[in-house]
Amino acid sequence: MDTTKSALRLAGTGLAGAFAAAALGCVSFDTRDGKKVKVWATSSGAIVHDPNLCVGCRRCESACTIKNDGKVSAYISRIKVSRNLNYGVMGVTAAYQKADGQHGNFRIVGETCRQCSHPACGDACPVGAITADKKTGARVVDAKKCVGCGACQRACPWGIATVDPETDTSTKCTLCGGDPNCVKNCPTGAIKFYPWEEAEALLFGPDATSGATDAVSGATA
Amino acid sequence: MAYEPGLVDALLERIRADSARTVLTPAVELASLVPGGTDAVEVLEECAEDDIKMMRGTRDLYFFSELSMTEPYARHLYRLAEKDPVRLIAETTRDESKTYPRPTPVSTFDDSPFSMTKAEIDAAISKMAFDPEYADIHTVKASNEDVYLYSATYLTEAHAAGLAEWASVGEKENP
Amino acid sequence: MSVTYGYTGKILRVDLTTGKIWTDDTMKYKDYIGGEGIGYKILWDEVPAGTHPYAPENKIAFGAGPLCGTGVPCSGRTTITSLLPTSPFHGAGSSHMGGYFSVEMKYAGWDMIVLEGRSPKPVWIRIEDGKVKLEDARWVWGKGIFDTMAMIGSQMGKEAQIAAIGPAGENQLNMSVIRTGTSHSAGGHGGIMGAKNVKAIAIKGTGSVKVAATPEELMALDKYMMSIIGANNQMVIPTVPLPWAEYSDKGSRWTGRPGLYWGAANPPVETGECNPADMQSVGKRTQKAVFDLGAGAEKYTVRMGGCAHCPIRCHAQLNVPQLEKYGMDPNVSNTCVGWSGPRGVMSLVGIKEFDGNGADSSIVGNGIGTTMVDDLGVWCNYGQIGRDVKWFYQKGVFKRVLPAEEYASIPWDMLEKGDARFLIDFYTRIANKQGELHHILDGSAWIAQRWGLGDDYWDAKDNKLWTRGGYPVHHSNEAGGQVGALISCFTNRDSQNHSHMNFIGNKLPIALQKEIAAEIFGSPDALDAAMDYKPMNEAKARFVKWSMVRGRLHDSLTLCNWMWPMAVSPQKDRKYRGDTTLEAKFFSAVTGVAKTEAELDKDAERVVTLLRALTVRSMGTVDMRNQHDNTNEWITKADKDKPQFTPGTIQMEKTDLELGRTMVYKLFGWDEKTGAPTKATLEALGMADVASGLGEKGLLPV
Repeated sequence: MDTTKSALRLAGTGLAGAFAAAALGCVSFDTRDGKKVKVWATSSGAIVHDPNLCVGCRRCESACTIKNDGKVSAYISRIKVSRNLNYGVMGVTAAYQKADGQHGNFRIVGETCRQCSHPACGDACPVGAITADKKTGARVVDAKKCVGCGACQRACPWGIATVDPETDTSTKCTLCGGDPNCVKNCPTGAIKFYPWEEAEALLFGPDATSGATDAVSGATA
Repeated sequence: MAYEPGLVDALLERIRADSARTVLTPAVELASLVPGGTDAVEVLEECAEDDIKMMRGTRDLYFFSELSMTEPYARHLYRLAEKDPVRLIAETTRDESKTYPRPTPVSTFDDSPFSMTKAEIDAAISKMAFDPEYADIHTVKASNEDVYLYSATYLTEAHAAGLAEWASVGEKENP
Repeated sequence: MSVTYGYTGKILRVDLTTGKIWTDDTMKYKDYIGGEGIGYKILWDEVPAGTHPYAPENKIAFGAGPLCGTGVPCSGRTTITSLLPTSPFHGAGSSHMGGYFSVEMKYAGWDMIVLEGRSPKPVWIRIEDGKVKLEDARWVWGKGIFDTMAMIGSQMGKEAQIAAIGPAGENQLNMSVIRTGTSHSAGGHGGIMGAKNVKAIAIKGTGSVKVAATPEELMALDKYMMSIIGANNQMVIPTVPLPWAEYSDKGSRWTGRPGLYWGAANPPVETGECNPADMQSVGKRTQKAVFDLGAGAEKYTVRMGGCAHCPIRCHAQLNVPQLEKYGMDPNVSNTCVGWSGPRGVMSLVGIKEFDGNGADSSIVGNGIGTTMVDDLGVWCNYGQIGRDVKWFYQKGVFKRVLPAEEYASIPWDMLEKGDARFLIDFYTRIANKQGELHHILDGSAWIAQRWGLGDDYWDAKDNKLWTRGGYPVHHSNEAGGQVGALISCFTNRDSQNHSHMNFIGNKLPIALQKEIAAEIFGSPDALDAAMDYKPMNEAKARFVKWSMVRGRLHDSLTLCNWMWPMAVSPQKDRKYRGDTTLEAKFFSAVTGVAKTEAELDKDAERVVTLLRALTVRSMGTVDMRNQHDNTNEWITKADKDKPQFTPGTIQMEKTDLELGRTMVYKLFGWDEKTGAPTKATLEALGMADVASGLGEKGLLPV
């Protein structure tokens, strides 16, 4: 999906008022032909994982969940390393020895939230619980509004949004208010926060280096 | 004595910048930073901040900043700057025999930061054998043929041999 | 159930005979901390003396502790407890593996999994959070561990963490492993899984471990810990002089330095300066491939791997394309004895150039050995298998005990030429229980009987056998004088204790080490300069006790004893002091139960004493000093020409060692004459049940 273009198209419809308001989060409105449209402020940036540098220690996952959930878990970590650790994004195949993962070529692909320009998670949420954070632009879940229906989890093409089975509340990357804890606690510097334009190139661009580019086919709930 | 504003800072900055890229600053290189008639070393002796250290060699004086280099590391660089490989090997060996204590693998000197050639190392070690100033430096060999140097001032032969064997063979057999 | 912090609060119990699956309460065992401690308590309570390790009545516990799964540095280990088949009296012991298994187990809601009985047919155990099921394993029975994991993974999902046995375990060979991940093996208990007809345990967990402290508190503690931590084995100085370092040592495991790479990464990754102030290079400071396999391994290094929540990556992960010539995966990973144990079988002449592999023959040979062993699930008994092969070949034991036809079929010429393809033939035979040769996997105590090996076998210095119990040195006198020697005396397998080595081996100057030793053990004389050992003293005995206690503590919490305790640090500003209260700080923060260092050590002392009681019970004697703790003769006799307590010898002295035993007994409150735990000590530790159990059998010292 070319997110930049679709954003321009919306801006081109003359909804300047709505777009300005979106800078503080996101707004919904009905177009003249009766469609519901959401306009999202661009995120300040996103986290990108380097599969070449990652050593699979999963300190990012513990750092993420202790900070955001006050407990430690891999499943609801907003950066996803565990699930690809053994056999890569594609999972177990007969050719596992040649494939990604600890049982293959050792390559470790961590998947991160892309803070999409048009986040499928947020667009899918039936109760408007996912909005752009006013400070960072990260697409964040309002736990008070979330009903735990899992629409975001099903909608996210990258398999990031995850409903915590212990709380029935969705979890997804918050950018930790601008100081991502996974980034700080990586012992090899394999996780970095990039401002939006760089992040967009790394995550969506033709020369994307992040393993996240592999993610579509391997996205799992 | 009061110096021109910025003079001291320029000297400190230069030394710190050199240290940050892991080189010593010889006094001779500081001369161009001070006006004629002013001695950079005097300026530093008077006004340097705590992180700046000086080492006096036979060829020159050398400065470094402890902000980016420890004193023992600076000492290695100092010995290199003095361009006396025999002394460098002997004094490094003495330091290690005394401090840790341990015999020094000869292979230490072809590695960073010494990076000496095998010919340089061999020549230095054979010169040492004939110079009474280095009479305390001996060699000992582990059973895998690794050669070590030690100073008899600090280590007995049996101890040095035991440590050499442990480092080259024992430790690898008992990881 | 109320919320438990650190602990999940639940133990999974499986009776394989009946297929019954139930839940037990962890907290009733909390006095024994977790992991190893709880495992021993279950053995004490439920497995009677005289039980054969392969009998259905034996139990095997896969244990995690309260710190596992919380992100505490180096907390990814699993402690497996059961009887030990290699032990001549089937004493209790633990085996350990790193990786990600125990963390997944915690996230699935279990502190421990305990198996008992014997399944009527091969099974694997499927655990998905609270859902537990025995699955038919006939389709994976007989497979190597790599394929087994992939096949089960294909059913469970890619994220499942699996522990499995290979043919060696299935064949109930004493020296076999349970493996998890790509390279994490627990040696000594594989055959017990085989005897229970369990091929594997596979786990997926979507839950969490709760932490009592606030996130800020735990993160602050983690940050502090990350400033104290060193490289692998808590070595705190680099291999070459670096600008930030005051000291260096070529033998350090802090190998990271400018110009040294993970050479097969794409693009290559430079390990770099590795300044201890830079938390984001901690994972690069141990380039283990060059340490384990030599400088030639740099270009084959893809990355460093290791365990969950550990910033120190000690498993070298290599791509060695030459391995494909032998039908093997070119990707091979391991650490330390995971390399040297399997290749040790070549130690007759070492690995020489073979099969056109040129200068890299040793690396290729290491890859062959590790791949074979990791797939077949063979245990090396901490390197003993290599020394045994050399001795048996040189002394004509093989020739004497193997049938002529079998002997003639073995490619000894390859062994003599240093051709590492010998390993393929050798491990295939023994893991598949072929011929008489496979009995080499019975373990030293049993083959000594079967093959009629005499004193010369036990007393040869090069054989490194510590006791007639059949286990070898593991950082014993060779590395730590009396401290290491005594630590090796109290277990039923190699002591697997690194508490002392993480201190003695930290590579700091001896004067500094002695200062720190004085602060911890009350005297600088707790520690001698390497190869310059002085007579036994009380401070050394305190060092021994501390090391044993912390070893059990770590295997119970579960923390990695190959990194912990943190007696030293790489911090010049801290004068290289570490912080020995860190375990207690993390325990208190995670569980919400405030414990001081001394209180937590006391809990671990209970675990040490319980293992002691188990040993007394399984040997049926209180005379530990003469029946269990004694050592082979070479330890006190091998260096005939070098007087004891002179520089350069590791030789111990008999009366000095006996004095050492007495001092250690005393510190633990064990009977000074026999070394057995007394009634008073057991009761003071809150172990009255253990005291009465021993009392009933007449096994309390008088």
